[in-house]
Amino acid sequence: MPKNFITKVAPLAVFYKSTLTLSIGFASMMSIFGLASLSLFIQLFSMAHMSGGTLCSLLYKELTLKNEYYFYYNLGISKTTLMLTCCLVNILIGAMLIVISRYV
Amino acid sequence: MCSLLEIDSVIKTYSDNRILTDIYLKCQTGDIIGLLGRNGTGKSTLLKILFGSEQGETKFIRIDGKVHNRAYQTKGEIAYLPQDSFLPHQLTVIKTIELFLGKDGIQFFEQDELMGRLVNNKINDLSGGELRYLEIKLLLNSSSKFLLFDEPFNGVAPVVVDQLKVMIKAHSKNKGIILTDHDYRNVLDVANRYCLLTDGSLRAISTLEDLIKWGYLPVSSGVNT
Repeated sequence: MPKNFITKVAPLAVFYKSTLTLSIGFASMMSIFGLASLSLFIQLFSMAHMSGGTLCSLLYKELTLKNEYYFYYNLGISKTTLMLTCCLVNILIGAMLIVISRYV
Repeated sequence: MCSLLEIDSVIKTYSDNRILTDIYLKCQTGDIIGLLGRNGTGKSTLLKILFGSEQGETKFIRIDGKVHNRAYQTKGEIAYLPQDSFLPHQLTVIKTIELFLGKDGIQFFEQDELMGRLVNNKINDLSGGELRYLEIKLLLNSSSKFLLFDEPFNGVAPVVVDQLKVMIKAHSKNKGIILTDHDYRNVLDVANRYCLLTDGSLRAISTLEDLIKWGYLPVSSGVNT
């Protein structure tokens, strides 16, 4: 793999991973309302993960771990890139889960 | 190769209080500029504007003749050490080094007297002084041509401060460094150029008497230092 790809993607993966606990926690809480069927559960989980979960995790970072953004700035990665990556990956995963929910 | 960082026309206002008024500063490879100033004079703000993480009303930043709006976005140009720790606390020391310097950097840290035994620890488990040492060493060994250090000696044991000063001086051969710290003796010791930020302006300082004249040091402090 090209070195430049690793130096850019690895920090993005670290940032994304650090947002997962809160967004999955939020999505899990919201999906309790869909326990009646597996399909509804997955759909609620996906929607919550894409919207509120992403928002909560980014808000938490902004309010409590704002200084960590300097780690990424020093690697040449802007806050906009970090947030957009996080949103896009969550939307992608959410959309995939919604598609899967149609077949269960 | 000698690189040149220039910052010009920096103006910054916080709620009707203009803290930076048309600042000009030039730093080149080999420079260690000690930026002094009383609390709230805008030292950190100036460094953040230089780095690009904060915007001024006006600013003009040029590195080797190329104008930058957010200098940090061009990797290898400039790096910044903020006042508080900036390393993600969930990472291990070894992973942090790998992300910052690549795999080659790990061996370099394993041989370090202070860091060698800590490479497998989590960032969260390091003491404040160890963390500061790691952050400074990471930045000094990065490919950045210019380094901005905001209170690098804060919370660091005197013996480690001495090691850091030696490291900073050694790396200044290939980099331009601007640093600010309230422990002015350390700043005077490590820097080879000095500036005082007062009343929104940057003034070149050549003697300790200048610091007294501009109200940074009390009259009683200068004579025996």
